[in-house]
Amino acid sequence: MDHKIAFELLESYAFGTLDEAERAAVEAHLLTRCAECHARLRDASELSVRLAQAVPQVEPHARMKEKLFERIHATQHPTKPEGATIGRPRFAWIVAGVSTAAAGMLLWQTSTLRREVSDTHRLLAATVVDMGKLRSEISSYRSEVEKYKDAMMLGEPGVRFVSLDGMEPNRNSFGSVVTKPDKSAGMLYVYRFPMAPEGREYQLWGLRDGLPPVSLGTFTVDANGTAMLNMKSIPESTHIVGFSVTIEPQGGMPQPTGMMYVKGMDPMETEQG
Amino acid sequence: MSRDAALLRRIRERDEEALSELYDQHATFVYSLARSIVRDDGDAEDIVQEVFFRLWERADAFDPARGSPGAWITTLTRRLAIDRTRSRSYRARVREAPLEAAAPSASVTAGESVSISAEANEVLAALEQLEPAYREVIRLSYYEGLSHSGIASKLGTPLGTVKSRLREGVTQLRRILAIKT
Repeated sequence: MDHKIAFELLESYAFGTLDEAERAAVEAHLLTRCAECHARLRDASELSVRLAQAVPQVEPHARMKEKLFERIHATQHPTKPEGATIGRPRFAWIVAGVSTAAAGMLLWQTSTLRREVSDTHRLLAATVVDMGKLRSEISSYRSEVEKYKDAMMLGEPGVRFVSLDGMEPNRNSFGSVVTKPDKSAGMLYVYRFPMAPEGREYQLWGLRDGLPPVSLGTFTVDANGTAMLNMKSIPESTHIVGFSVTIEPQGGMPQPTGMMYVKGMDPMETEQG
Repeated sequence: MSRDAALLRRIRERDEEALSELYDQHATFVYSLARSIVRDDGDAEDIVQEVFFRLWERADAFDPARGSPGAWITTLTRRLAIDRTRSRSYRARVREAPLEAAAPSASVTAGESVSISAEANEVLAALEQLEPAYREVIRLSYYEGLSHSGIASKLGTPLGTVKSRLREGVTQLRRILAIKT
């Protein structure tokens, strides 16, 4: 998006009335550190605070604060492993770590599922809810749980682990790829990813030495910025020396075109190379 | 560094006490703002939880170059609330039970604790000073959460006119309220 168009949308950006695509485009322009747009946005944002003060103030129920902290304690994110790379001598830890992480994710996801269903039931009692959509959501949560079970099966000797680090300007995003010893299948986990704008999704790439990257699938993240991708079969697996994730148009692209969010190289390939 | 900015810095370091303080400081504001947009107590409660949960999870995303912590919280609250009003399930519900008139004159239930601050009166007075065409565009954009095209459609006005009126209205309001950033 060019400066002129972004500049025209800044008031609505501050007021929160843009649709997702417009919002993402403005944010992309703001990342260029355009001074004029930042100044205009600050003005509009401070006005937004003042306009909000005209709204009658009503105190929320005290129980809401407890619920917030219950949610925070129930959804603590797994912490990023210390050190970007993990070598051969630490296999035992990797296997144990993968199993524990997968079990933890399973428990976490189950807890999230329970909470979502509980929230949905409350909504159902108070409002009109599309029952078909609810069933479909529960079904999709169940299939997520099944995927985590798949992940646990990866806890076998010789499993490979590649840590993915966040790239500017998304240094907070991170993830990991765990593959079978022969790299024929694996799982991707990502955390703290922003929600992809409408019409866009994330794409995982297998990086090959001296060859173009190969697509390993597309995915979207949940409201917590978390996602998991089950790679039942990894093409060109023997040539893959690392992984990266970029944002691409819906359905994915043959080659990366968008911004890279995370990247990591296979330490075993580095050692051998 | 402002008190809120200091709290956000502590939240980045996973300090729950800081989140608790920030919540006490802003929860009423966030709840009231969300409620004025979604006009439903349950939805507003969900949004309060989502706002503070995101502050906890993404405190490192705060960018002082774009405004104060209060501005960030306001934008996030409005965005989540407006997104909710645009969701399919919300619109279906509204068709079932039409909502009340838009804020800032949002109604409250008898017995609720409501306060109209001096700041609120100042803002309402500033809005009154705007030319009607500018005031209407700001009202539709800010208090009804309509997009540019939504306002153009509602008023039967060209899109470019809506954009320029909104920009000029914001400039005039800032001048009247003597907002300096």
